[in-house]
Amino acid sequence: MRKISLALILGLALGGGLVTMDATDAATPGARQSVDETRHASRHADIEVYNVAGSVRVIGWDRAEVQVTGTLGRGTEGLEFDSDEDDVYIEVEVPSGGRRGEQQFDQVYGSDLEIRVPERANVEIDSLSASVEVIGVDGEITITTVRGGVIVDGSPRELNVNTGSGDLAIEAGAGTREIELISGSGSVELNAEGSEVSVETVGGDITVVGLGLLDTSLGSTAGSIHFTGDLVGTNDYDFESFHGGITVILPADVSAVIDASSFAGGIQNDFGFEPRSSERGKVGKRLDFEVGGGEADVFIKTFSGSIEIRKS
Amino acid sequence: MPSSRDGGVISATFQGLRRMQMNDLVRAAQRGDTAAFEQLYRDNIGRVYALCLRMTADPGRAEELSQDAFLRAWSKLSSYRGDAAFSTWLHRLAVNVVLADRRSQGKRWAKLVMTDDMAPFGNGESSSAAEGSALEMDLEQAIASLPDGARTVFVLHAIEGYQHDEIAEMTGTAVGTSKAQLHRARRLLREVLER
Amino acid sequence: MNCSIREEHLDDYVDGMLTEPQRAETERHLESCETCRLTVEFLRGLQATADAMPREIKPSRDLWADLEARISPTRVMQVDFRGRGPLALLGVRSVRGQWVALAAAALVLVVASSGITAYFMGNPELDPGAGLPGLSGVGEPVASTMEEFRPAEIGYAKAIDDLLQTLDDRREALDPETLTVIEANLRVIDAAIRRARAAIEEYPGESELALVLADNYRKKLEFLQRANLLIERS
Ligand SMILES: [Zn+2]
Repeated sequence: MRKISLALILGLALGGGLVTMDATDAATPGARQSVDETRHASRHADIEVYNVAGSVRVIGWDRAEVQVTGTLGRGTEGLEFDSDEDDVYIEVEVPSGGRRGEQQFDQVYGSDLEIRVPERANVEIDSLSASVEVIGVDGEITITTVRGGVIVDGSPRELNVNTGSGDLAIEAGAGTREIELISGSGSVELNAEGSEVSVETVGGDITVVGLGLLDTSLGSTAGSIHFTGDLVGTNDYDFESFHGGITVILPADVSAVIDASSFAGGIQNDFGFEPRSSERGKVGKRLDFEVGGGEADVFIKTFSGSIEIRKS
Repeated sequence: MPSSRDGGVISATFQGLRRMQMNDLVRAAQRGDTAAFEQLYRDNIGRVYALCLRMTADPGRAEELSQDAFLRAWSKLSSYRGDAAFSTWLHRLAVNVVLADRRSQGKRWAKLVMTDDMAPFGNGESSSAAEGSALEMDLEQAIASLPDGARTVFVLHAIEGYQHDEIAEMTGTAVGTSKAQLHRARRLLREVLER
Repeated sequence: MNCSIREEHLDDYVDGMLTEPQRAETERHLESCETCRLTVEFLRGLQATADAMPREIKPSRDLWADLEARISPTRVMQVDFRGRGPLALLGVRSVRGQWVALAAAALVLVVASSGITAYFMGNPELDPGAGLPGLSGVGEPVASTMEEFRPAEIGYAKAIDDLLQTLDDRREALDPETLTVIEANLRVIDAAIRRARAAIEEYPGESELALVLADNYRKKLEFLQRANLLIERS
């Protein structure tokens, strides 16, 4: 314990030294530089944003312009902001050799950006620890962040999010065709309408409320899965978790074939069919039945969690 | 009887210090320091085990679930942001672990578990439990005899201080169900205790 | 009970959940009704006793040793960063563009894992008919004992080892918190792997368990691959 703390303190002290040097080179130590810049861009521009820490807030607007406002972390080396109409590049520049030691890192390099973009632009955001928020953007959105949380509200044509430990809260409207969300330990909350959905986590819990979702796949290693929604036509709806419980809430008049199995957990079912032991082996429970016209395919599987199939 | 819930400035200051220390430990543990996590375990196991034991009325199961709760805490440490005290966060997580286990065990609500083995509740090693009065011991035993659903709500509400809406959220039931189970628990306890 | 007051109402009274007029009315009733008075007395005494109960109870044995074994990175990660703990991995982060080696690691992974796919595909007895077995592949029996699964497991271990080693070689470029995130996630997956392995040993003959185990290994590989992508992109 003591040894580790000491090493950490040393590490931070060394890191602090480096940063101070960088900071005195640039400007007054501790000062956060503010930014307010606007560039012309096409309405369908591809916009790439890179901010290592702090926050990024992107808001769609009805102008052929990109505007960046906010403040830069005191350890940063400025903002790169280029536009050639179709491609826009925004990067908070960080000195090479900047030390990534815990809190101090976020404090020194953390920059808060608010970026207004044409509402139909495609936006790609990369970060280490910044929290990311995207509102009212209809183009494709791609977000990668190791540990920042992500909030999206709008109808992006496609949405792709990959995070390590950040929580995701997504509200996607009817214009969204495809949603792919990947998280490690962060939880995922998604409200969506009419799109294809794929969500995968390691430990994070998944909660999805869907209206007319097409092919849907929710998977986790240890997180629980909670799905509420109707099913459309012959689409596939897969829910799989190794350790987590799975709750699927469906309309009473749903038309589906439902195949649910749990190796070590129980199965509760509102649709009036009793689970039986799996055919092949001695352990595990399986429930396999058809309701309504049997159109959609519902597959529910967990190893040690329990399964609940409910009528909404 | 000395109690950790005594008021007073000294105790408040002490708690403030403890909380600061705990935050340091949490940060170290978040970096993967198992020694720090061990200290967190030692500081919190009593409360977590008490919760698991009272909710399951099964010492062996309670030990397993306590371990599971700490395991889950370890794997979810990075998501702890310090909004609530660590012990509160951990406690809530332990409740969820017990409830998830309960769900995976299937419905046992109607089963009335009587337990004669009261040793775990009166463990001599436990500084505070050893001081339990006869009345408290009776209650401990009576709680253990409750059906799962009633016991869960009684433990969470009357002992751990959760509100009905919180209990409803954790157990995935309605507020009315939580209130009904509490009422049922109290009625059954009265039958047992006034016998 | 001979009076019209419901016991639930007395619960609410004792819990302080009544409105002021309701409370006043209940108190008037209590003055004249002994049954309810006794109930209230019991409820108050019950809560007082509950309040006085110890908040902490020690388990009869120390659970830490077991717990430590289950969280220890060396045990958990199976292939450790060659004995160096997270501390050794605290390092200076480089700027963008120095991630070629990690991208290469991801490539190693793809090659290695397709090797495993080939293993399954090329072995008629083990081929579940769906390529790399996944949870959703309700295929024919793959392997139903650990003995039968071992060759596949070695393949996975090799792929994972290669990747972790490349990460280790680049550890100085790794941000410690990112590493914490990666490790925490790997621990979750590794716990699942251990659990599935234990189940196979406990229930030989449950062929679907091999699919579950293989799926957990696949998830571990995919996670490492994604982890590299995350690091590379951030
Ligand atoms: Zn009365």
